[in-house]
Amino acid sequence: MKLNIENKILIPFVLLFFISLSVLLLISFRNDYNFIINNSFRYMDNKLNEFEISFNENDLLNEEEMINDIKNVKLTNFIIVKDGDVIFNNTSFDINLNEVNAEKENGKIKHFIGENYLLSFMEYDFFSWTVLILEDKNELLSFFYESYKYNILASIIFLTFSLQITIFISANITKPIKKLVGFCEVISDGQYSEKIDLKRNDEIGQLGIAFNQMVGKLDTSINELVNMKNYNEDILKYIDKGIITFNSDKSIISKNPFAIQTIIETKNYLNNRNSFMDIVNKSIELTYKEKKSNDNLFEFTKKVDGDIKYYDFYTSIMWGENRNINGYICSFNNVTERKKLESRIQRLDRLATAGTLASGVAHEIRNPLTGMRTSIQVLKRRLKENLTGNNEIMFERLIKEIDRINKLISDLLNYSKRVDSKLQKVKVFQSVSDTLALLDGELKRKNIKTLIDCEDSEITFLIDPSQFNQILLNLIKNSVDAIEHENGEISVKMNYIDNLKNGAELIINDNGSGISNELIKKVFDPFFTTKSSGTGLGLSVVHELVYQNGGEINIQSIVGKGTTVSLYFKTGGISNE
Amino acid sequence: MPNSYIFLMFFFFYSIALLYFGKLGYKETNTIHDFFEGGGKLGLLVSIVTFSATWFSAASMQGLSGSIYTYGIVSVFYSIIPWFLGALFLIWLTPGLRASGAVTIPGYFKKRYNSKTLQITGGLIILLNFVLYIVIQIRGFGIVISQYLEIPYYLAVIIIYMFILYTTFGGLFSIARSDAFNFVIICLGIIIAAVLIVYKIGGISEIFHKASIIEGYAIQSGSYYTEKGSLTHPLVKGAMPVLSLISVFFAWGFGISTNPQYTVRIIAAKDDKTAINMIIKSIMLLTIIYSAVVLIGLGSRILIPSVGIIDSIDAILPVVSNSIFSLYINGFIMLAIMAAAISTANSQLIVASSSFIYDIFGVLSKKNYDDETLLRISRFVVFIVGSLSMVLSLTPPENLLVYGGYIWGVFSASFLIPLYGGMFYEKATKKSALYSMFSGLLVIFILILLNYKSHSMFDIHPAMPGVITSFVVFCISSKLEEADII
Repeated sequence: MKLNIENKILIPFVLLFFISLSVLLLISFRNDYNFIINNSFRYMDNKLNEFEISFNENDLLNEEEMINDIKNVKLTNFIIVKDGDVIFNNTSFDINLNEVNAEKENGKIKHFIGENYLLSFMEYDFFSWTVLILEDKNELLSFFYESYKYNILASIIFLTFSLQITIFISANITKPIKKLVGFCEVISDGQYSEKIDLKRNDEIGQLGIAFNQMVGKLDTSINELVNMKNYNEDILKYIDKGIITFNSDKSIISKNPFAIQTIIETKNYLNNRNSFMDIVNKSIELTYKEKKSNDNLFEFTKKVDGDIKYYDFYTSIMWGENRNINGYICSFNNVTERKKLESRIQRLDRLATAGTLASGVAHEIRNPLTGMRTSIQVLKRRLKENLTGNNEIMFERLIKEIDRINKLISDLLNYSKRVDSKLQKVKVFQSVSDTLALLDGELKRKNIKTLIDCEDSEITFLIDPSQFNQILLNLIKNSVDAIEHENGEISVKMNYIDNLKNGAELIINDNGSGISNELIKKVFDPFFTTKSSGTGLGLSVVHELVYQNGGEINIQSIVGKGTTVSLYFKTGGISNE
Repeated sequence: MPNSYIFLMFFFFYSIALLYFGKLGYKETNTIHDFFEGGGKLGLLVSIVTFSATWFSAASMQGLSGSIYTYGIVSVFYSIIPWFLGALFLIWLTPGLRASGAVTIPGYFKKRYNSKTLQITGGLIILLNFVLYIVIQIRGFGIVISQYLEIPYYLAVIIIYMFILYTTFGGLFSIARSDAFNFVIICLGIIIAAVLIVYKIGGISEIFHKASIIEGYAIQSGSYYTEKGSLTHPLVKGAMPVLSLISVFFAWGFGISTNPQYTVRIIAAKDDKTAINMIIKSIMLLTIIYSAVVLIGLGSRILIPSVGIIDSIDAILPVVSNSIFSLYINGFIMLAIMAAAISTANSQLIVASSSFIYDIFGVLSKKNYDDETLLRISRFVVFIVGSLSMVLSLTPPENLLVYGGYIWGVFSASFLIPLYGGMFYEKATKKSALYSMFSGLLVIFILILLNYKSHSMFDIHPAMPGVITSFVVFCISSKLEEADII
């Protein structure tokens, strides 16, 4: 049973009052009872003594005269025994004389308490009498009980009254405590502005005042805390960094909005078959094992179109007091743009180096090469008659190889020769159509279908026209080269990318052999080629020209499915304006 | 061991139990609305027991059984039936009274008639009547307990004073809880006594048969002679005039239907349905208890056809039960008498105090007090009113006791018409209510003074002319005011 504070005060007092009063009543009962009995015996003893005196005074009387004398003075409750027989009895009691006979002693007063009476007796010398004086016990006790009843009644009244007072006092003491408890419940409901008034000047009243002060401080602190919490939440909410927190069991406690957004956005992206959250969990696991912070870059590729995103993961431990681990934190941010920028800068560096090298070497090679070609042609002419079979073919091949070197050198020189772009509005549809017409023979030969999807035939790019043609020719030629099967298809799509028509996009898509993930990063690098006869400068030049004209280029490819190249340029305003 | 020791033992256990039940309500009381009206949230069961326990007073316990012993079943028509009819009026009153939002009858007068005079006068009538009524309860109890425990009367008075004060200090919650306990004791005592008596005589029909052939003096010192057959005759074979029987309805019946100790329970119930159910179910419960009391009264007369010299018919039950029952059954009957007196007196004490706080102090005081101060004042008032009643009951003036017999009549004559008239007659005005109240009071007081010491059960009760006067004055003044004459 759960005792409340009121009962904890009350019950000991109830027991205390009850026990002490009961003990008091029992003791007083015993004392009063003994007093009454002893008093009666004393009275009876006095009578026996008086009787002895009267014997001594009347020593001349004989036994019969003595009994008559006793009858005359009307002594009550007297019994006289002689030789074991009752010779005189003026009481209404039948006395069992065995006890008297056994106990009696000459000259000494003896007492005996029977069931209904008290006896005081003494054996005398004269006449060998034993005189017994008797008192009715029931009569005696009925007076006693009657008077003692008031003790009991007074005790009950006192007990009841004390308990009533105790109940009032305990209620009075506990009432403000209950009020405080109620107040605490109000506070725990968050109503910190409440105040308590116990209307008392004692310690409990002071407790109330202290409570109010405490709640006041609590209110202030909680306000500060709430502000701080809101401030922190706002930071977490608006920061462009994903933050996921974990408890010490590595279960997620919280995700900020950016993290949630990122998890949704990277739903179809994988890093070596690991989803985004797998990487998060692995990073935390690593930090948990190594007990130190970790910083790693992860690349995620979209299964469908090969799009790549880069995320920088930073995981660390949240330390509590006494170096206990409170939990873990994983933050990550999208570094895709930065990563792309870095690779472009690297590529540009490589291009610049290649360009410089190429232009230097090209001139030195070209002159001897021209001499070599001329000499071979002269030799071929001179030896015309003697040249037969394989020898003539070898001469032809030599000249072809020298031409190939020459072309490479021309390309290199073109590549290294920075030509300024003269930007003007060029109708995209027209340029695409012209380029496709130029390649018509090859397209037909390879049985490649072409599709042009044009939102608006007036879409323009702000670009150098000849460089744009070079870009288109290179890209479409690449697509044509990539297609090695019968059902080839190249689609070209043009559209504005914003409502204000400030920018436009051109997407060239083929269903050719595609490029693997490892290789796609290098396609813009100079001298990188997968073709046996390629120089590896085509896409490198395209890349160079696109950025020179203020555009952007993206390439996505899936092996066996095809490649998509997206170009973006400013429109320079709507062309027919 | 003497008998009184056994009774003391009973008394001791009763005291402890009462302390416990009183304590239960004490901690629930936080405002004076909790204190006086149980916060208006008493449930059905607790409402029924507190209504019934308050209803079942020493008058029901000793008065009715003594009256049946002496006069026979005429007492059923003289008291029980008027009481029940009066209670039916309360059902009629319930929705309007609760809807008014008043917590006392004078408070209703203030709301209905906007009259402070009516409110304060009403408050004074309640205060005065209930102080006197508590005196009668204490006195009845004191006499009986002093006989049972063989102790002086003043000690018995102090005992009941202590219990009444204690249970009242906890407010209506404490009263309701202790009432529940007291009502169980009352039922136990009465049912046990009735069953034993029926068993001794040999059946209920045997009781009525044997009672019909009894004749002689019920009280040897008294002057009333029971004719053969009159005990079971509703009109005492013609000794009771029908008009007297009707007149007593004006006192007992309307006394119940205007009695603040019942209206406060109507207000304390948690809703209208509970309040009405409380009245109906209490009447059903009381029907059973009263049937047992009738059997006790008639059966006692058969077993002990005549008692010796006693002061009043109130003493018949203790005297008779002492000779009929064993010691322990007598102990139970003693407790039932105590329970009946305490459960009624504490309710009356709280009504008297609430009238003082709401209708006198609340109207006259200009200050606004908070709940705790008001509670303290209320308890202080309870203490003063209780102590005053106790002091008066130590040596009650004889004429005060005579007046006590008319208290219900005074309520009828002063409250009935303004209360029910205000509730059910839309055109009732302040003046008509005032004139009606004062005229009713005037008539009943004059008749009480004229009847002083000579009133017998068979006379016309002064409440009847009082109520009729109050009604006539109410009607006439309403009409006159309507006609713009006054």
